[in-house]
Amino acid sequence: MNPIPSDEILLDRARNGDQNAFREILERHQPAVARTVAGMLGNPSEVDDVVQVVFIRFYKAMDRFRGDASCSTYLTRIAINASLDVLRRRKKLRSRFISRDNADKALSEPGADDPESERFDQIKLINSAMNQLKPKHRAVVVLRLIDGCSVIETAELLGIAQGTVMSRLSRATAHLRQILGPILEKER
Amino acid sequence: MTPLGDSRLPSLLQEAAQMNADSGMKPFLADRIMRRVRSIHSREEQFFQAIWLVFKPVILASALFILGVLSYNALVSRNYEIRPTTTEMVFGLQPLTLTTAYSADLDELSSTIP
Repeated sequence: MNPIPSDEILLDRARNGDQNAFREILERHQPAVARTVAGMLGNPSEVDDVVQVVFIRFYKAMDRFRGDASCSTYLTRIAINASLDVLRRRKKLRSRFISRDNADKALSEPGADDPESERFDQIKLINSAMNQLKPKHRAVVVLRLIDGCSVIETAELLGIAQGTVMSRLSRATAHLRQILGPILEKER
Repeated sequence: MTPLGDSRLPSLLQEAAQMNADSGMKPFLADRIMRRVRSIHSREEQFFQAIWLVFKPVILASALFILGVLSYNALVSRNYEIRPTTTEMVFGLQPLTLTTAYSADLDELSSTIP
């Protein structure tokens, strides 16, 4: 039985034109990238497109990637940047076409009584709460609370100071706690 | 320990992100990405093929011109009194002799000496 090749070995092979090696990297990291992107966007409809963009950018940048960070760190960085691009575009569109207040009210309306529907409404409320965060705060929340990165890793990934990570996280969680208070109480 | 003091917020956010990811991903993502990767490759190949097509006549013409100049130099250098070396012959250089060395313009040289 062949041992599972490391990311570095697969990357080397992919750089030399082995497309199967790239596919293996893709399949290995796709769930984590999708979760990061989904956390950042809070909107399932765009996740698939952005994940594709992330891997295409990674493929194009593969030759420049010299292994100073791990493959997953590099992909997370690309995922955060690609998501921030989408959020910027979305902000421009929203300011033109949609009233945010109305959208948020629609999302937080209570659903039917069955538990499945209640869970779905909870997720919608969480998405709505995340969408109210500033993109830079959202990036910290995604990396720290969803991806489980340390403060140091988050600071390195976003290119900010560790103190800034902690202050942004504190502000963001205070906001989330305010909106998600009822859900958090119910979960207790 | 999270900033909330427990793990409820992270687990809720993780669950929401996972649900968004699961419901947002369409089937055969890897296949679709690999198809795009291959199209990048073929686009690059097309670009280099186009460049080769454009520059092929230029390269051929330049090579023929260089060959012509070298042959002309070689032919002309046969008429020199002193047989030049191959390099001199090919590049059309005058062979250095005592006569050519003495015929240097001494006035011009002296003006460059302080």
